[in-house]
Amino acid sequence: MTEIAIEFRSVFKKFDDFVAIRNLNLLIRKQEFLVLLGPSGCGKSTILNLLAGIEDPTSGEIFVNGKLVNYLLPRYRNVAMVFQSYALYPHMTVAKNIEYPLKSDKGLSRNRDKITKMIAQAAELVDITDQLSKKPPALSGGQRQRVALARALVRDPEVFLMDEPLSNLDAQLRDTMRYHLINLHRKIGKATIYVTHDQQEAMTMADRIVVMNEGSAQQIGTPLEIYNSPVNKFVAGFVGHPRMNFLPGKSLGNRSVQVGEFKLTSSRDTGQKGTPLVVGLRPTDAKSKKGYNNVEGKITAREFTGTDTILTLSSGSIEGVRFRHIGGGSDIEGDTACFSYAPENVHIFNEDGKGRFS
Amino acid sequence: MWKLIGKQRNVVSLRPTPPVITVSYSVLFLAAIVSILPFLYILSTSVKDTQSLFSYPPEWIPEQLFWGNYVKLFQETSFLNWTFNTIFIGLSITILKLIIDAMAAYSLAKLQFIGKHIISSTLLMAVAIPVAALIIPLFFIVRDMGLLNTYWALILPALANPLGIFLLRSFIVSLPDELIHSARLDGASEWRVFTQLILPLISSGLVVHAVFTFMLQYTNFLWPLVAIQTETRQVLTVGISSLKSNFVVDWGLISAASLLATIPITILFIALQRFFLAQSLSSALKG
Ligand SMILES: Nc1ncnc2c1ncn2[C@@H]1O[C@H](COP(=O)(O)OP(=O)(O)OP(=O)(O)O)[C@@H](O)[C@H]1O
Ligand SMILES: [Mg+2]
Repeated sequence: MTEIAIEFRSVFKKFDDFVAIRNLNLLIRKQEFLVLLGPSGCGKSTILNLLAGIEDPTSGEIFVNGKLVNYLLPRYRNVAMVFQSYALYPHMTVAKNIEYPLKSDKGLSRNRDKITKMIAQAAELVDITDQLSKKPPALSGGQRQRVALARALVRDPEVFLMDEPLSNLDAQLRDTMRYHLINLHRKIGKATIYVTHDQQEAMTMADRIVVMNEGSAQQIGTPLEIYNSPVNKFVAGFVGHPRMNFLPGKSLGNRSVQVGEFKLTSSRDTGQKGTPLVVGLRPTDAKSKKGYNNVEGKITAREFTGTDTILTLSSGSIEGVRFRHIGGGSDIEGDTACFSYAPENVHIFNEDGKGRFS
Repeated sequence: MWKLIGKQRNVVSLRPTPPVITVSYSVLFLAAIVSILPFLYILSTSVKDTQSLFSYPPEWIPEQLFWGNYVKLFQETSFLNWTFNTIFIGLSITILKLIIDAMAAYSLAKLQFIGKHIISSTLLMAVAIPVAALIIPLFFIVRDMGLLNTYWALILPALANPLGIFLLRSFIVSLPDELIHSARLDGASEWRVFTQLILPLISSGLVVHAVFTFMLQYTNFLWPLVAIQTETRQVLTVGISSLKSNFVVDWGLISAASLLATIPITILFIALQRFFLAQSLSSALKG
């Protein structure tokens, strides 16, 4: 049986007339690592603020461990948060910053040795042990971010909230920190909500992903579900790199579509014959030989990325479609190339982009 | 690259050139003379007896230093009482005001509560009323409370001046909200947020406020004149001016008193000048 740690029930948040969160319904299991993924301004931080009690929902209920927390003051919610802006206390040393959340634990504050050890452990985890006596204004952006992370990790809260906690680190450090965070999460198993706008980070870390756009959750699911069966154009376009190609088409009925001069068969429903719809093809799903569902065209551009080459094709009716060709490839611009798609990789969306075709 | 060099040139050209330095130093020198001359004059007057005071030609440094003015000041007037009263009242007001104003400023800057807007506009209106217009109603209020002629008569009205709230509020408003949210999430009570976060972070504002409050109180004349009748309870400003009210003006005595009265405030200023000159400079630079 899986226990529910957090529940959002029809939560709305408005700032004056602007709807920042639209009807959010979300269940988060104990021990779950949930990632909020979405473009800037879609309401990710607002969701964390609602859960932490920094903002009050305009309507709807929020439960933590089955208890309604709408009216609970932030300090009683037992939530550890890494702020997007770090929010380090500028007049305290790094060590004091990390210690601060421990101060409200009266029993602990008498045990100086234990506190020192906890600070050292947290600092070790994010590799800032040699900065403990500095004050935040003297630190680099990445160091500040790590202090913020350490200040959250030193606690033993009900829930961890992390708002883009690795955004300011270099690629290598970010990789190590991701690994540390996931390991730590496995070890202590506390529900974690992790915000990022980096789809790759979301994919590698999440148990489940919530893809957000303009205040509403577009899709909630495991990374695999989100990647393989995106529910609408937005999700499909946001997840996966290079971005999915969207081509206008018309249903031929019986799970097949006409896209320009090409006829494609999908494993998905395409509705009644003649319905206009949008076909989604991931560049990375393309097989670079003739096969079942073929798309053919002249190469107009090629980008070599190291392990593979991204070719941009144009044909009579479709333009600027990108495909991945594994390896260096010997094709040059102006050549004709042909790619094929397995039916399960032919995605079908509504023309207005609002949903999956059904 | 060119831009960078251009920028550096700009910086160089902002550095004062020798003629500019000469001119500005001359102006500063003049200003210093103008402000220090009266001071030297009362210093000189305070060590002369009444005869040599009006001697012609006037002498800056009398041949014989005359300490009689100082002796008289301590033996025949309540000068020591006045000094104590002034400092005691000034300190009380400063401390109480810092506590009240900082708390009020925090709640107006960062807390949400019903009536906040009304309270803050009322306070703002109170700032706009000139002190002179308040003296008469204030007198009746203080008299009806039975506080005339007590320290309270001087302390309480000063606490009601809301200007400091606005000063401190502007310091607190500039602190990011996330800091406060973070502290609350870290389990801090509102009191701990206030004392451990807000107060240390606005310490320079507190110093500025403290110095100005104390100075204002130190030089306050009109209200003590009205509210205090007993000579030994009086403050320095009114006390010193009362020295001349006996038909003959004893300039030597008044000069001695004035000179001594400047000492505490000078010490305060020198002790804290580095702090708040740097502060007003940095806030000026931030714009
Ligand atoms: N206090 C506020 N008052 C008014 N509007 C707000 C407030 N806080 C957030 N918003 C608006 O709500 C929307 C969502 O903001 P939020 O900070 O949650 O975005 P986000 O997804 O975290 O974006 P980012 O990735 O840039 O951090 C934005 O359009 C923002 O302008
Ligand atoms: Mg955000």
